[in-house]
Amino acid sequence: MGIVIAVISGKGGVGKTTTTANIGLGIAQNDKKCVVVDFDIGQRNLDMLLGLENRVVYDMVHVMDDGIGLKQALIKSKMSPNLSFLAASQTKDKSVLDSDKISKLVSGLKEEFDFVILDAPAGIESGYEHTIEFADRALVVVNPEVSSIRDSDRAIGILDSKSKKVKDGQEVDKFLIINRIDSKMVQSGEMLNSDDILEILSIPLIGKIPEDKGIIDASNQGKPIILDDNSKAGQAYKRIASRICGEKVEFVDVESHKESFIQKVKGIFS
Amino acid sequence: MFPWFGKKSSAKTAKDRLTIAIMSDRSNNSFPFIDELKAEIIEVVKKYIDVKKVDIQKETQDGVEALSIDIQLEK
Amino acid sequence: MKTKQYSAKIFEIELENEDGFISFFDKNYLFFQNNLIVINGQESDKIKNYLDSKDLKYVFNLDIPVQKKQKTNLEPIQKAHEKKEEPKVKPIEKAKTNLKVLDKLIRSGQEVKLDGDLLLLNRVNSGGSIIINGTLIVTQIVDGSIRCNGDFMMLQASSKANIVFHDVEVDNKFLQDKLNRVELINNEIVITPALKETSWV
Repeated sequence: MGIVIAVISGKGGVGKTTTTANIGLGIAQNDKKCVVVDFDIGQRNLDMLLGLENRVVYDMVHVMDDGIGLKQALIKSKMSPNLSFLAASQTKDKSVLDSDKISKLVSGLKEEFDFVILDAPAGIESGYEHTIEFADRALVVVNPEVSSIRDSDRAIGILDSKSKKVKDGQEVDKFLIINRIDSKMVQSGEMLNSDDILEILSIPLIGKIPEDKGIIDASNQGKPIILDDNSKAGQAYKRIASRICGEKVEFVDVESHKESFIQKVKGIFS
Repeated sequence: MFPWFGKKSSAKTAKDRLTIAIMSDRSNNSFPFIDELKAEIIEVVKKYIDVKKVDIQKETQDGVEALSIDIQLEK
Repeated sequence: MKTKQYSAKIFEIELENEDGFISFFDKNYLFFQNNLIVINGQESDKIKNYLDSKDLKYVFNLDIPVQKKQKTNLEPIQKAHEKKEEPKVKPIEKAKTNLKVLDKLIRSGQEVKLDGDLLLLNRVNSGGSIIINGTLIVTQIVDGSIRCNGDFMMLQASSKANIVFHDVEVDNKFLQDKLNRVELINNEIVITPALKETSWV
């Protein structure tokens, strides 16, 4: 039976979908069967980050409402045989989200995969509530920035009151990912450091991801940055994926800023 | 060492992929008003009889595009 | 006739001795730049010149038509080791049966509403709120909003917080840096800092 992990944030644009794509691929590279599901109804994004946008024939509504089988709708990624993908619906009609149907869908996925990763929509509306309803665990993605943190706090509060696990008297295990850390700004005191963020949100840290210009390039090409061995963000995603798979991986300091001589020279010419 | 040498611009790749994806999105969504239409139909029918659900499907038959509207009544 | 009506922030202070007065404002004048300072005591040119030099607005011996006034002891603003006498921290009297103890982080969007006394062993995040009719003690920092109508409350608030005690907004400046006791004495709100090292049972 697989584990269902919802990737949430509250605020939009902080890196949920990028995180879902990279962690999904990272888990697959750890030899675990993984499916990533785009729950942002009406706004497909996960497909583009995985380079699968031209292979989508059936989406989750086809599976839930039109009797299309999971095996027909699931798209296998060419980047790893262990990674599959289920696209979001294109209608923005919220009524397509029905708890019973979603429960059936998620159960079906749990039987086939070790990890079921759900990319939640931004905000805290019904789309978000439906995504977290059947989650076993949650990855909370924040940027070191006040509105992101406050919105995440709100999202966590809702998760702690609305998910099924909580209603059954249990707790959804939440883990924090701090994304887009700019070490220069943390050093100069212009950016919140991870200790401050952990104090406010009060959930365990599972990863810190440095700001990386290569991310845009990666999404342009539909190749998640975890495939770039030289990218610091990619390496961070690798560590997070390993931790999710149960490995104990030391945290790497991405917040101290050490400028190498070459970087200083480049700085003069840029 | 010198990353600005020889790196193909991925922006071009992005533009190509986006053009195709957006054209595909647009063709699939030739009736973007469908959700509002559904809501309004429910309101109108509700004035006369209790409505449970309204389903609107786009159908193409022999090159003719039609909207089929299914109205489920509340028993 | 052109008229305008609006609310302003008033800071009232007893003028006991000029040097004490000046030394207090030397440390704190920045806080009062948007206040009208009401000075109860003998008018003095020395004080007037001083306040003019700091660009502070003031008036002497004005009877302000408000129900409740905020007053702080001068001492709290000074550092703890400068105090001549230890501030009195009354122990929590009688274990009331309606004391609720909560060890839960109050997150943004969450509201705790209670008709009774509350001891919160955690913090209140920005966007979170507590509405309470009894005594309130919060052991960690408050970034959110508090509405309390009890005998007293003890908390430490950040600049983000919004604290209202008996329908009066309490100025955050007086609640920062350490745990503070806020109570209503003779229709005035009095804020006293608790000792910095407070050991909880």
